Amino acid sequence: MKALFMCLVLIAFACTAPLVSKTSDTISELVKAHQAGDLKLFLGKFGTPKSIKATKNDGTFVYSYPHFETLVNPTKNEIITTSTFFWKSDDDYAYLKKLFGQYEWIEKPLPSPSHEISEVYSVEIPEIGVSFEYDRYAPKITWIFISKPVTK
Amino acid sequence: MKCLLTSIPLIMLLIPGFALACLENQIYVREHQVAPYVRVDQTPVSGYRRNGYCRDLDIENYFQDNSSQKIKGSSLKLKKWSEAEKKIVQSHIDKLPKWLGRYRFGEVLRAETDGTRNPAATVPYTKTIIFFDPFFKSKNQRDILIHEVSHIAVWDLDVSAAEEFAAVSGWSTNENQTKRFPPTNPIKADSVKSVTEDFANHIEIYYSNEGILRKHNPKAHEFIRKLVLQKENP
Repeated sequence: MKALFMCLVLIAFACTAPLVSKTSDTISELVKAHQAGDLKLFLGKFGTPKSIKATKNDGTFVYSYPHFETLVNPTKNEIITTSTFFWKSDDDYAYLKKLFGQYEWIEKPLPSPSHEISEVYSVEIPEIGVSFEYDRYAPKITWIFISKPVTK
Repeated sequence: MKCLLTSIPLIMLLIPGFALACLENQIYVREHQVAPYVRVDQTPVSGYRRNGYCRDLDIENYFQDNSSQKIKGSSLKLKKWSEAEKKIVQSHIDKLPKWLGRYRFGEVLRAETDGTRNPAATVPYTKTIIFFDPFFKSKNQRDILIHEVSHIAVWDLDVSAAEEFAAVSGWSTNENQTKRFPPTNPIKADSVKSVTEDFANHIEIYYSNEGILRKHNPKAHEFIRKLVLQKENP
């Protein structure tokens, strides 16, 4: 009986635990990686990229991973910027608010034709270096860009 | 026994997260504040913050003469449906491709115009479709409906499929990973607005003139073909 009770408690605990999803983990880990800015730490976390491409700028490369690409400078042991394809839920905006709502969000409306049913906003979260756009009527984010955070 | 008990929560945490996309017959209701109220049995209930959730659409493809939604668009004047118009739209809904036909709409509204010759518009978030006057004068009503329902269906793609579609259609980011760019040769001019608009255009053209899609972008055509096959045979 005790074992059954413990089992139910543990299952209840597991069921109420935050859902672990690959994309939300990746976003959070990418944000942390950019806060550190360290390429070795980045590679330790994400492993070898599936492809590496030199850019036109000397010394920088684009490391490609499933769902994101990161601009790095191996000579300086530096990660610079990341773009990640984000396609998570029926309300990606709300999803990101839950992850990063504790930081300041700077939202600006972007022009859209008056006849269209859309309200597009650009969002910047300077403290974690995140930026994206979303449509209030169809809040799928699609791309999130991450760079070095702005320290206050 | 101890090992089994302690491993259960770990195993459950490793299970891929619950699908965060609602089902075809559901709409997503955003997180919101529920005001205090009194139950039928007079029990008072305090106000509380309700998490976002998927709500079943009890009435299918719900024709409405007005809406409580605050839909942007100063020239959006909702009007009453005529029975003839409802029959026209319903006849097209009934003939949608099988997988698109599984989607249910929150509201189906009627409006004069959005200020242009646009025949219809969709609010994917609430699964609302709005039909304007030009729709009823159009000769390709089926294509228009397929396009609008695709705006809803695109939300069902998983991240890998959505990303693959964006890539084969020609969406890209710059080398510095700071901006995204639409296809340089879009299948339709307004495809450049968003991946979802681009997807809706591709599905529309796949069903209206597959040869055009195949010729314009064989990779995108192949992606859509496989997707439709998968969706038609779940």
